[in-house]
Amino acid sequence: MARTQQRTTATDRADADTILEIRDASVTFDMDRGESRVLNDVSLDLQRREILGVVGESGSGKSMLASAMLDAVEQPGQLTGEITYYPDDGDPVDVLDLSSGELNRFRWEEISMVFQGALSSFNPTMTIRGHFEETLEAHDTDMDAGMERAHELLSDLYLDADRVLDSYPHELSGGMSQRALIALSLLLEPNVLVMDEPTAALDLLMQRSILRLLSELQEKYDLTVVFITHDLPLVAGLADRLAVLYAFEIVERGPADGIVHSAAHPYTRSLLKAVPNLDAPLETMRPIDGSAPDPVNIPQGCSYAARCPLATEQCRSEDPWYHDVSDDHDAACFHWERAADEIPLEITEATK
Amino acid sequence: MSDMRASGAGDPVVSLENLKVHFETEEGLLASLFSEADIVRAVDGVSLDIAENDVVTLVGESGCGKTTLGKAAIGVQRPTDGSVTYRGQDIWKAKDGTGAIEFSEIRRALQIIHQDPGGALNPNRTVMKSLTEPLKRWQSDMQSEDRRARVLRMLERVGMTPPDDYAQRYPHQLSGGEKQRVALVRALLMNPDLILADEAVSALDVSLRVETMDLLLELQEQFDTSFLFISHNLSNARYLTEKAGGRIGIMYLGQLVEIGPAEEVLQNSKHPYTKALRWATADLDQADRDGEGLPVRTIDIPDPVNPPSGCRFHTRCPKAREVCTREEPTLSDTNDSDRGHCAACFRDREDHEYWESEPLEENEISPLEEN
Repeated sequence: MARTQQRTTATDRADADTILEIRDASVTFDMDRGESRVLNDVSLDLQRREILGVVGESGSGKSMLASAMLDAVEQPGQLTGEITYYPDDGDPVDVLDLSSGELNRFRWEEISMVFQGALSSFNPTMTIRGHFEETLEAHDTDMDAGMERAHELLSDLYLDADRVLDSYPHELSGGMSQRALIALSLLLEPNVLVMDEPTAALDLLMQRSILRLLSELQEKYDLTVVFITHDLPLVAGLADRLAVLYAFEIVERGPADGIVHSAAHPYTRSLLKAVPNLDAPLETMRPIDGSAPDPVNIPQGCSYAARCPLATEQCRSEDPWYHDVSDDHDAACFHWERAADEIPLEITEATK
Repeated sequence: MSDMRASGAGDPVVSLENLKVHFETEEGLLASLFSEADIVRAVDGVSLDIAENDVVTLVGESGCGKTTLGKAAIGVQRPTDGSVTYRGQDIWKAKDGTGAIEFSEIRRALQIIHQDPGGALNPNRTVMKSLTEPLKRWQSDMQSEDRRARVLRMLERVGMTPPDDYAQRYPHQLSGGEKQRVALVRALLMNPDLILADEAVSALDVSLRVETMDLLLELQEQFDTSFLFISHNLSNARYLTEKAGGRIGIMYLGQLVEIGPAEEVLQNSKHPYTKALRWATADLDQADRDGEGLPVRTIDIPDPVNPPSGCRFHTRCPKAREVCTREEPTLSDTNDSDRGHCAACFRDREDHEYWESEPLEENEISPLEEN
């Protein structure tokens, strides 16, 4: 937790291309048995027009990170830290300082969010058209121009716009309603789209198709996209950069290729081995022994030490700071240089 | 249950013959969109044999009928047409009391592990109570201590140690992976011949999946049980099936479109749908970056109430030709010699009129027309 002072990496230096800057974001809950820390001093810069994949298993804090970006952490969760938004032109916005009215505009017009499970995001008694119109009205936006954009967005997502607009949410398949929700989230022309497991409930073919459409949307509308998922292989093909969360902290971040082909954190490497895939020899797939720490009792030192084959006394007593793996790739591990030898990855090395 | 095995020697454990399961749709959801149609053909003509010690994984998108087929295979879903036999005995004739094998015996032999193991456990009962209960029913002559000892041995065997501790716990005191193990123990205590495992690992965290699949395969081998796995995830299907030397069956809109040994189906996929599923199974090599087109012409699945004519995949198939819109390929149409690997696709037949048929126009079908 004393990590902040020691961090000196590329991702720390906000530059002209940064659209969203997250500094020391923490989320805590008071529980009977103590304070539960479900996001722990996370710092991250989102670059304009990039697709950032955030990967973490359930309970790693990835949904908290998504909520933090929009100051949407639900009570009684306490969000601390700094979130700064840099619009294309104009002054930087201190997101945690916005009034609730400002925040409401900000969440649709600057940063928009799509969650898993579109059905629960839609009002079941209202047509999809109703949702689009209501959103335009609430933001005093020109209805004709807005609905024209709605048509275009729906077509971009391979949907028959008129038919979808006239449907009620339950009349659409899961894949169709999730795409309609993505269209709705882009209605007010936000610059940033934050997606929390947007495809997890869908079939793989639909997931992959939506990812393909997303990368087309990103180019067409110059979007900055944050894609949060437990599924590393899924997002690896989409993202420009990846950030890997373990136990409420970002343990590694860097270009997607770098993370997949030369992961430096032992957790990332073990995760790559733990995910079954179609091509790697079966005997190279290994589960990760042990379990993630309890948010109420985050151990001293590196939170992965208890499961890590490389852990030393230093790891158990001292928080590892970020070590540069390359210019734009770093890992919170003292022993990252030994990780490749200790945890070999046959898949990626073989196909490099 | 070696006595059972002997009597059924040579017969498959379970055999499905041209199985059909049709459901009438509820008024509302689909009926409002498609006024006339009211029959969903969840399973529409599937034949499949599951042998002893066999491992078969059915893969397909939601709504393809894989769960319905699985349930029909273990005798909990009555088929509309076709037959399901257990060691040569028609299950539903046994149920109706006209078979040579008691229905209760069939129920014991065919077990299920649900996708949501928590939901299958009574929250007010300890693990021990949940596990001894079925033993009481099926092995009523067993002493109470023997039952408890057997449960403890099984808990230990699936890695729940110390077993005494776990036996006293209630379901809410177990993790998702542990509940899954309890469900597995409960199925195995019945000495089943076949276990249906419906999405047994997809709800688990990534880092737990391999471990759980290894456990399933280990127990499959130790107990000489056949497994019918159901999964929407081709990578999990590959892991389970290839390790066990089993088969993968690919389902689309109620039909089996390709089946064969795991590595054959995945490495030499014959059906364009199998290839699309392969594409959808992201691999770490980021092949996606080269920007090849979608391997399907439309991304939404047609409505199972009105499945497309001819080959059901023709509305999405990038290789579809005119003949595919009117003639239906079947699994038996194709060359069966490749180690039991076959696909319901004309492209697998060198002399089929497909090759002379006109390709379908790219834009002939609008994205949602067939939906």
